[in-house]
Amino acid sequence: MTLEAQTPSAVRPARPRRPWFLRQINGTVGAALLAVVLIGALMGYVWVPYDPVEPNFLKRFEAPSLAHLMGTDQWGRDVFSRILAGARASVTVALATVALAVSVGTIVGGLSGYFGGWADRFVMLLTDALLAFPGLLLALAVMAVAGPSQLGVIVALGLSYAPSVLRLVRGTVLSVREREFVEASRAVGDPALYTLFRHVLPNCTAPLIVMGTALFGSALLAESALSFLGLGIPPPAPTWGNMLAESRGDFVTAPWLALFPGLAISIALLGINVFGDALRDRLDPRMRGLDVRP
Amino acid sequence: MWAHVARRTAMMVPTLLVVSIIVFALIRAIPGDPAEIMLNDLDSDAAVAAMRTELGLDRPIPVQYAIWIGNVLTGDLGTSIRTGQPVAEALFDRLGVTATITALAIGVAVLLAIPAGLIAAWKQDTFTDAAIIGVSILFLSLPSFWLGLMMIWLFAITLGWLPAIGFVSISEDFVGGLRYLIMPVATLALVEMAVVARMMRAQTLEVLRLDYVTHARAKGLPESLVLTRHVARNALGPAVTVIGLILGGLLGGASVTETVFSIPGIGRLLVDAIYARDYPVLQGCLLLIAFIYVCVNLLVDLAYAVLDPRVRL
Repeated sequence: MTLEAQTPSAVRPARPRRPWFLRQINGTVGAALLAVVLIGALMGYVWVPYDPVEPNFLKRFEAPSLAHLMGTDQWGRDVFSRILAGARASVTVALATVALAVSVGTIVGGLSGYFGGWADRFVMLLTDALLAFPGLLLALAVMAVAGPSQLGVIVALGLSYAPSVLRLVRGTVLSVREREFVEASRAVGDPALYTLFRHVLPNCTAPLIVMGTALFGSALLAESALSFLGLGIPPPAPTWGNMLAESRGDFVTAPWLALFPGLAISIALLGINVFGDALRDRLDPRMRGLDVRP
Repeated sequence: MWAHVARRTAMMVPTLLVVSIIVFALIRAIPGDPAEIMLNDLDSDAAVAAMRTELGLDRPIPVQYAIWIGNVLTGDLGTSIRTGQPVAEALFDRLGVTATITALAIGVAVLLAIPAGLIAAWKQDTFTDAAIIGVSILFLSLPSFWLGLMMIWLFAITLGWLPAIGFVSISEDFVGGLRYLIMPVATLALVEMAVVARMMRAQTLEVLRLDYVTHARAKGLPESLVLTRHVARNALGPAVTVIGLILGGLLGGASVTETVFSIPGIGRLLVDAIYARDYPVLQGCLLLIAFIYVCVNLLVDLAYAVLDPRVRL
């Protein structure tokens, strides 16, 4: 038990400033982990050691070695190469999803909140209904319509996340709409759309960055989950999710098949979570209020 | 208070109506003709046409929706194309399994996470705090399907302590059933625990800085009483709202966990329905899960209003 915990608060000294490594560790570690994932994804685009798709039946189920850092799978394909190619798929899908959700959410939410009226009520009704499908549910339903494909995953997840972005943007717009600088912009005769995009929406930037980071993680996880279920990006194109699904038959004899794709997802998510926390501490005023540092 | 309850409940109706329209529209948008899927290729065009008439597929779409929603409201969700079982019956059978696992996971997560979050905040910036945050963020980053696979590998295959996959109802064989439940519940609970613990910590930090906490300490109240009576009680209200969130995560992710452990729950039913293009079952699953989620969120909102009367203003 520390002294601090026993001291009655009336005489409690001001809380000491956190040591530097605690203040900086989140951002640094998170950024480093994210960098590893992004470099992996870039390598997936530019160069991988072996062909990630072409089978090689002479090299099935080789344990990790110097030649094959993460071993080979049931088709004799190099797992490390597939992880890199999978990083490319996951990161691409996640970025595209966030871009789609943020653009749709910002534009619709901004217009809806700024102009109000029956269109706003309709948008809110639709948003509430879309948010009634928890987690993967809406994405699963859309994938049932679209069939497994990369574009399908992007659209399904983009649609799933857009309502959350929309709500965030609309809320900010509603609170900013009546402020003096907006009124000033209207008073000097700016067109409404100009006022909205120039003076109102920039106020959403900080919370949108925080939310976008979190959504990037959610999209990455959701894509893996969909691919794991066989409803995401179809084999033979490697993704971390479908690699895990394919490992299920053989991971008793070849545990590395399940180990590495899962580790890849975890590292990516850990990076995003840790980095996102640091980002939120710095950017989101609400959270900054919570975490007052003397 | 009752006016608040009535108003919030009434607000559900339009939402659920739009939910049903979305579900109906999505299913209609699936390529392929349900009548042809139900029959095999050898059947004549006349048989397909007859089936279309029987299914009502030849009527205008708004009429089809009206008939369908009327049936849904009277509890008739149609019959499964694959098994011929009434959908409502299939849903009911599977829901129990998912509900058991979900309820246990929430229970375990909340019981462990609330004290953990409270202690982390109380010992802010100490090693204990760092450890609790660190472990939480680690579990938050493990995909449940991978955690599940690794648990199977460790506890079932390598150590042989637990059965790898499957499900036995605890009403039939209590001890055996529990053995099947441990890994799925642990998988779900560990991830959700992280969410609750982080939320509880943030809320506690906020409450700890309030004047009445200083006052309670100043009047000499033992720290344990300050924490339980003043801090925990006030931090708990907002933390309760995450239970709605967790339930969403669990229901929305049930398909994945139930696939990993081969559990015959509603999530597995939904995924199988997608594979088999069993539209009535898919519709039923989507509607039921959305309905449960909306109801639980309503309950959470109401509970929040009870715990914190200021909300009602």
